[in-house]
Amino acid sequence: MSERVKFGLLLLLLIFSLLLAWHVNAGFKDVLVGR
Amino acid sequence: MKLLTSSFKKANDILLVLIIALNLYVIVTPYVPALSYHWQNRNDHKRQALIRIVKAPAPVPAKPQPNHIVIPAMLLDAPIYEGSVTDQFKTLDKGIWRWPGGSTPDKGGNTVLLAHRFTYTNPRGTFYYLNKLTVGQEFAVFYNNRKLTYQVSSVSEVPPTDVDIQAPSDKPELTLYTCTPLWLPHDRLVVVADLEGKL
Repeated sequence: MSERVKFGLLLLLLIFSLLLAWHVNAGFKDVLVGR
Repeated sequence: MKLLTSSFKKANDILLVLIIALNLYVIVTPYVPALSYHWQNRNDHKRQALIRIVKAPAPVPAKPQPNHIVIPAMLLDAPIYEGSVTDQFKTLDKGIWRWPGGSTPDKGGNTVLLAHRFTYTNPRGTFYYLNKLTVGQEFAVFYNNRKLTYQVSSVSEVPPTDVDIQAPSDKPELTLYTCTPLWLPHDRLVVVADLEGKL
């Protein structure tokens, strides 16, 4: 695999990781008061 | 061409490090409260210090103290926040929220305190170890510059629809609750404690 293709894939993976980290940071909490 | 390949190689190394760091953050953070608890529990100093606070006669505060709760079994000494129901999420993000529909510790009746079991943001896992509380254990609440000690009378798990845990009571008691099982909002872990003494 060329370094250029690897770069593209890693960039995609980084974007997904950033989205996951942002999502858990903002939204991962138990909905205690959803009564 | 060779220069371009080498630049991509360098960039790929950096991207890989960033990806690993981000994913480690996502995977490891849920265990931070547990690591912190075990680190603080490596010797018994913190627990003993908190037990001394619970057992000691209330000192006369030189200036008004913030409302807080001290639970030795959970190695917890955390502030209690007041807030309206409309601000519930904001208040819960800060830590322990006194449900305004309930009583207050100094007035008697059923005081309801709730907190998240775990969040990625600070304070992570205020009630992470609420399951460490067992019947008979003591803890203290400092409220409006008064010290109130409680003894756990029951520990139970109820579905989220069971609003009876927030119902008013004739006797002075404290209801603490959070989500259970750990990391999931499936049910509620409820600890009820009876007032032992007021100072």
